Amino acid sequence: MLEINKILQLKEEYILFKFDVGNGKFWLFNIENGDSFKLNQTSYNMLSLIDGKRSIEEINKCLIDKFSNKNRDLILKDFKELIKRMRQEKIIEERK
Amino acid sequence: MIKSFDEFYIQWHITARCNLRCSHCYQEEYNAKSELSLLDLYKIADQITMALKKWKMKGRIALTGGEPFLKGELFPLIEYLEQNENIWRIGILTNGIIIDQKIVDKLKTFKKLYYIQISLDGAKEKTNDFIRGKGSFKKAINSFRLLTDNGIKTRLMYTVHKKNIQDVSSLIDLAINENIKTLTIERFVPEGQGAEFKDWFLSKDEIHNLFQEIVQRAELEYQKGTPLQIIKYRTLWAIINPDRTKIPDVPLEIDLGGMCSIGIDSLTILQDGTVYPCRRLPIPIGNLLEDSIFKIWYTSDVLWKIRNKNNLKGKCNKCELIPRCSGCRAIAYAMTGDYLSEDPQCWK
Repeated sequence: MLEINKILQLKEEYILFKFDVGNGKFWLFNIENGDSFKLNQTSYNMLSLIDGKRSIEEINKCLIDKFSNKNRDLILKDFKELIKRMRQEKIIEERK
Repeated sequence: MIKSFDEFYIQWHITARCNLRCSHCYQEEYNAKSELSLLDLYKIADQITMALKKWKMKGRIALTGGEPFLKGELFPLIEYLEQNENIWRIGILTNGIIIDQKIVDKLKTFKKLYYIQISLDGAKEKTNDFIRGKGSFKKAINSFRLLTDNGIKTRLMYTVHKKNIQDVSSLIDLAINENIKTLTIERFVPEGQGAEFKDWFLSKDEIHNLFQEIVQRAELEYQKGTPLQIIKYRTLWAIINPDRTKIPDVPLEIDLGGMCSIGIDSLTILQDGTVYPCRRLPIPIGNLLEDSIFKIWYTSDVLWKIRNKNNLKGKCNKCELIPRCSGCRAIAYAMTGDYLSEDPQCWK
């Protein structure tokens, strides 16, 4: 169950990176063990919002504002799944 | 991982101390104060190892200085590096001044030692010693012979500028006669001590004519079956014959051009652990005793700017030869202060 008042952040060993070439290439790097994950732009945008300042509820609102009604449910579902996966992979954590 | 090749090159300057003071040297200081202990050298080696393993790459490590044979930790460090299965080749870049039989006997015990590179800056004693110091030519030649006689592969590094360009043809003769396996002719980058000698920097036409002459000679020697390999897979060489770059599987002996390796498959480490993109591009991008190699590789703004070839300026920006050239960023930096500016020696 996703608690929407929680504030999440990337663990400190992870950094998001946008490489400005063509339409952009998007990466998530672990600077301790060297893991790298290629992201699509949507995942990159979503992870950028997980900044240790905004609650999940606030991020949901941001996403709703950004996308049309048509895509809203799909985007929120994708975001929920992204958070679940990132927590399982121990890439994001609750703000301490 | 951003790159697609399977070899990663590390040039590791384990000491700044040197027994020569070559006029064109890229160093500014030659003291031992910031040198690392063997334990710290091992820590850096562990970082390299970790990265190679993660990236599933083979490491080629060139140990140098200053003069690397002045550092007592050189041999223990090689022994340590040899234990790592991700490191497949080790080279030593030296001025050849203090190599003797005792050193050679030790070198012969290393299984991954691939070559010893000695610098010369003239094919004649007079030219070389004017730049590198009195007596350095004879000592370097003696070291080439000693190493070759003991079955160790040698390479010759020649930094070309106005004071020694006239010797290049004779230098190729010398390399062939001395059974040297590989000759690298590198363009002079006026920085460090060498910044005083900007007037030694060759013009576009001089570089163009020189490269053309070397390519013709290299192809002739290749046809004759001469075992000397003249390195031409560097920046600017592709312009000599752009069509050559389109032919797959060209033998290295006659291959032309290579993209600058900064941010793709190489790094330089200094004697105190500081990391540069390239030894000739003296912009610190981290220190391996304080930063992880991954942090440096993944977050350096300088590396990312250079990786993105759209950032290149001037004629380099739209050049169709970028995949085989991209210009020397170090020369651009030394001559203009902007490492993204066009290569000032490009004649295209």
